[in-house]
Amino acid sequence: MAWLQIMFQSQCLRREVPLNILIPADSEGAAPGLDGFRTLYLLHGYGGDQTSYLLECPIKQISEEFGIAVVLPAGENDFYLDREEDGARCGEYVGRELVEFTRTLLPCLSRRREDTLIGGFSMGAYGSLINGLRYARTFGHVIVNSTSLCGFFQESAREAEQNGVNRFHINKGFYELVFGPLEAVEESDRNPLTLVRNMQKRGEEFPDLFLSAGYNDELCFAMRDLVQELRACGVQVTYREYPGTHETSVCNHSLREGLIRLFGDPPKEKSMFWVDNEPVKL
Amino acid sequence: MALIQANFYSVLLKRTVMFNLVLPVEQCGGPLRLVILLHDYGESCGSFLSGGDIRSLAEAHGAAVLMPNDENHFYVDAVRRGDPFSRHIGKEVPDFCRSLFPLSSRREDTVIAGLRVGGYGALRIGMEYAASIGHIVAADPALVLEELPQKTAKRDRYGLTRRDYAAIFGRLESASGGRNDPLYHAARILEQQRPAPGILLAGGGDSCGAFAAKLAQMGIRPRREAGTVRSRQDFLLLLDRELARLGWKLPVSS
Repeated sequence: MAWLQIMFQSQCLRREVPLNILIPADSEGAAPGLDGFRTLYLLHGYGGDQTSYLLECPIKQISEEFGIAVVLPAGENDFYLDREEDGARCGEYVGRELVEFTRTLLPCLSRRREDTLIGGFSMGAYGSLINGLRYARTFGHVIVNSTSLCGFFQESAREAEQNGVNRFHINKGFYELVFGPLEAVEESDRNPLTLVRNMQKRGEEFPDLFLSAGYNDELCFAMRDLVQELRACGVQVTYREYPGTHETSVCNHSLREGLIRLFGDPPKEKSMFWVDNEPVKL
Repeated sequence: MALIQANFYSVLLKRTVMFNLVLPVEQCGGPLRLVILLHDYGESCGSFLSGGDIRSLAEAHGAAVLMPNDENHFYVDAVRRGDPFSRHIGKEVPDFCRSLFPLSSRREDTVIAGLRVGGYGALRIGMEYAASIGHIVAADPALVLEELPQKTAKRDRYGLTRRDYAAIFGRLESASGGRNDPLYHAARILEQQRPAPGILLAGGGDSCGAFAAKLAQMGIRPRREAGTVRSRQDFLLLLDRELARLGWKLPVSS
């Protein structure tokens, strides 16, 4: 396993940005497959950074088990969207620049669409759904766990307007900065369904979509609606629900199942310490 | 420009180790040239990042700069623990980097350079792995092997005592002329009629002069620069001039 902590100069964000990369290779190399390592661009949630999955998920094990490189960018709290106000192109950064940069830096990464995945939890789920659709020519698969959607943004902004800040300590100005005028957000390209309809008009191919949520997560109702609306549009979606709420353990399940669905069960290695034994009470 | 701090599992050392790599990703038209930069005793792979402008050096010469971690092993194969540090730094880390990053594997595209104990390491490793290293820059190198039997409990100019050296080299009387002597590897190169790396020896006083004279006697003629190399900044300026002299401002393809 190689863990790379990287700082690089982003054109989209006009500053130096941090990211982490896991490569399932050691000094004797690894078998990246004919076309290079499959690569998962994994986006963290609100309040997180490029270390979130390293600290909260067994992401090293997932990388090793599935033989997949994992790229962990920092998205700040920007919902991975291009921002009008200051020109910070947070969506283009993860959808285009980050992919180009990592492929230049690491020629061992596969360039193939079917080997290129984007996924995430919560805000990262939203970012991976939006940018997986916007950059569908790059990403073959999208693995989404519990994304917030337009209705939730509008409701949270209303709550912020009434009370100064909402229960997430966010003020209304933030929502307008990130999502534009909230009454227009449904029709805007901040709504994944708008992106889907536009793609259909242009006859573009969709990425493979794997959506999931914890059934004790209030966001799961909107996820269910989204799945049905996507299917009504004729888009194929795989959807799973797990016990649990808006939490990383659910995200783990989702990630693992999403990867097993695509690449099959990873090979299990027997521990060098394994012994057949029964427990005793002492 | 990318600054990379890497942790990876070294099969040779049987544990996870780290290195730093500065890589001018904007200049990645093809494989990049590589400078392996060796820190002094008591320092780490991070020392050059705070002690000089590595980014400008990398950008100016279109080269990646690799900073491995010696962990006070004096760039030799540790006798007691069996940790082969010279092989780790001379072969394992560069090969691993070449397998991941867009780096040239040609010897003429690879320079090893170091200051003080790192300067000795550059000579020791550069000579042993001359098949993949084309040029050595050694500034004020710690060429101490001949003086080892006279070392005492007092710290020498590199900050080491007789006990430190014994822990590193084992029997102090037999270090000179052995596998940790750059001249041993120089003799192998000549014996096997392989190309010797180019060498710049800067500063280093009498021991360095004597070393240069021995190399010259064998038929390998190092370039000498007199004067002292006082700081990491001095050393990086020297390295900058040497890379320019090697024509490294030009891309690999030309």
